[in-house]
Amino acid sequence: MSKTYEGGVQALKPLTMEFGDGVFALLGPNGSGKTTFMRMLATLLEPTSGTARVDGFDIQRDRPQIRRLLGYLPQDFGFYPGLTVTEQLDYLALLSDIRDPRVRRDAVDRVLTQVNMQDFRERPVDKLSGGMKQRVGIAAALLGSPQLLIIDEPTSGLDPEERIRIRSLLAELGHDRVIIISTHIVADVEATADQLVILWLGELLLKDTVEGLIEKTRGRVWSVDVEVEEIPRLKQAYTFTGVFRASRGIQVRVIADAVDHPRAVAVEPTLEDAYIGTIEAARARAGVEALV
Amino acid sequence: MVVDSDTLVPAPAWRKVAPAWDAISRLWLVLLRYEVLLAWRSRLGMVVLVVCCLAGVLAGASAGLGPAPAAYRAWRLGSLLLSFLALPLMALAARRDDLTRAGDGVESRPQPVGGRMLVRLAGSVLFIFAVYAAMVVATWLSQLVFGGKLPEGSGPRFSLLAPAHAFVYGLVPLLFVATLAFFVSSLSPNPLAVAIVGVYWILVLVGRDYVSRVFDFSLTQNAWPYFLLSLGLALLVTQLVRWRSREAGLWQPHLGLPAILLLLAGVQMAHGLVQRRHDPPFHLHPVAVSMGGQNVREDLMPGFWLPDQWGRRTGLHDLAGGPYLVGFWSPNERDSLALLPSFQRLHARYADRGLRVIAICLADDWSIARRFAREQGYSFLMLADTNTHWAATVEHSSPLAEAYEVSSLPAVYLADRQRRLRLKARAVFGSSGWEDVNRAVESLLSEAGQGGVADG
Repeated sequence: MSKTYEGGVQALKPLTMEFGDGVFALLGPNGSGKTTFMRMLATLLEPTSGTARVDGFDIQRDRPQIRRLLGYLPQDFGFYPGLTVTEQLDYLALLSDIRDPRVRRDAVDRVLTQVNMQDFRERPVDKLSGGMKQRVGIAAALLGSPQLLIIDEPTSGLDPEERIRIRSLLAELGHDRVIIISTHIVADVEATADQLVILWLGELLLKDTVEGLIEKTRGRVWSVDVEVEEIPRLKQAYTFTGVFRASRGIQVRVIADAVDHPRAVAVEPTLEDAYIGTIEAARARAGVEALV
Repeated sequence: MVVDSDTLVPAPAWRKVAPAWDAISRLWLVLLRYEVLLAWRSRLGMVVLVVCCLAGVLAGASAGLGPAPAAYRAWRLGSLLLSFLALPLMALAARRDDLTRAGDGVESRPQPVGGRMLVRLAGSVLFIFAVYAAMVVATWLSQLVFGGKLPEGSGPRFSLLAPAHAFVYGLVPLLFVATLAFFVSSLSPNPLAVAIVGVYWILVLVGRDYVSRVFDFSLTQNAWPYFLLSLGLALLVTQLVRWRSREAGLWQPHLGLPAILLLLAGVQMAHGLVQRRHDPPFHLHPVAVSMGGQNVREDLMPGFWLPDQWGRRTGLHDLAGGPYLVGFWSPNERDSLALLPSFQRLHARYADRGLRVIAICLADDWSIARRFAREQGYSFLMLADTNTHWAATVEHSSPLAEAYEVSSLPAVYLADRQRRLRLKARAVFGSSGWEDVNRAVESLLSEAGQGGVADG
């Protein structure tokens, strides 16, 4: 499917993909079409061309059926001020068509336990911290035990401890359902994703496992100890994936087939190296000036 | 068809109804409760409630007002205040998903958006009704607590009928304004809704005759058309939000057709009421023209032909006997309300001696006189001058007021059996003023009695 907004901005170029059970991470810089892709899959946006199927249901024709299978948490979301956490979740459970009050109560209890928010159930939603709000958002997406869970930026704005908790929860939930998360935090992907999809300027660059992507970069990542004044020259010649302060001078990581520097050492690639390498290669192909 | 899986025979009829009842009781009613709760817990909702209750307390606190005038005040003030305060409340409800950024998280759920928005509209309207009820009760209690002693003959002090009337009469205008505000806010951001309702109030407050009568739904006769218009608007809102959320196309016959029919029926009914039944522009009516043409230069009491509290058109010629005591009052003139208990007292004392007591209400809604008569238990003749319209002076507010040269309210006139005016107390204030009227009535009745003996 593809999406072109009014005014001719092509947010997503035609792409074809398939997802099975597990956690899929959409990775890409801002404006790469991640949110557009997720909103289309969540039946909130119509594709300009093509379509998608969820468990056999078409996202354009069978919207109600898909919404019964779906849990969606947008990146920028809010709650109704004036309600407590329990009331807000109860309200959303009603919209998920859970009519039996006992079943609803159990569902709310279950999701609150999953995100470890039982102690804050009576707290007004407008008095929650950013991390708590994110957890309640994930709890809301989990109501109704969705088979397809779509979460846009699940860990943005969270402190490290919260981030670890959310990552473990997602990894745990991914066993028996499809989870699609979007993120620009590579560590999220390493911790949770079975597969990753890299989007860039609305284009599908890659769909692979984390190990597969790292493998593709093996032998092309170098660590170089440099002096500060050398950095501009190296930056012009190579793609940097990291700059670190070392005990003597500065250490840079670059991605290249070969590096012309006496202190260049081939190192094990990380996911971050592989991701940046993929994006920079695409930039180079498109003739766009690298910003790193 | 619902079939019992064990026996494979058609299930009884109630089983077919059960899913609908299940949806109403377990889903829509619970959502409705949440909508009322959200309005109640919002800061704006609380402010509206406090402002209205305070206004109610102030409205009812005037000394010697009595339950009927207090309820009338609550009704007028409530319609005025809440018509405006309902605008932001309804706009907030209609745009809540956008304002709280809850839109995508809510819309991605299976419950259809049309039903959800209808429940939201209903919940917000219920909250406004609850605020209005609180305001009426506050006025009633304030009148009981701070109102002091009522004048003799002003009816029961603890009338529940008056606040109940005030509440019921206020519902339709509030329903209409709230639905209109919700509809317009769903179409566009708030300023347009404010502008539309602002234009409405300008029409009502400064409009003349036809235009103001079409739009003044505070007139109880206009309740039905506005009820139909409200329902039509509610269906249009549903259609609109369903189309916006891509749940359906722009034209949804099952919503659109009833909406258009309801709107047409509402407009047609309003037009019909104004043209035929509801207080036609009376200054164009031949009778009204002749009323306005009368004057008191020969000291003869001008005639009239107006509806009484039972809805009968009554003229001076229908009232055999005499003498005649005619008074003008208006629910909008606080001092003129004192006329009613005084008239009741005079009626009770002198009716059997032939005195005809007639109170003429200068208001554009004939049912006000009827309500006051019922709520306060007045038994004298209460007419409503349906030709009253907005004017800078009382005298110019109706042809009849002009004929009587009413310059301020209350105004009292006493005429003998031959309709010759004997007293023109154009403004009666305080107990001394009423003593003068009393003495004049006594003297006229004694004269009539002597005359009667002499005639006999």
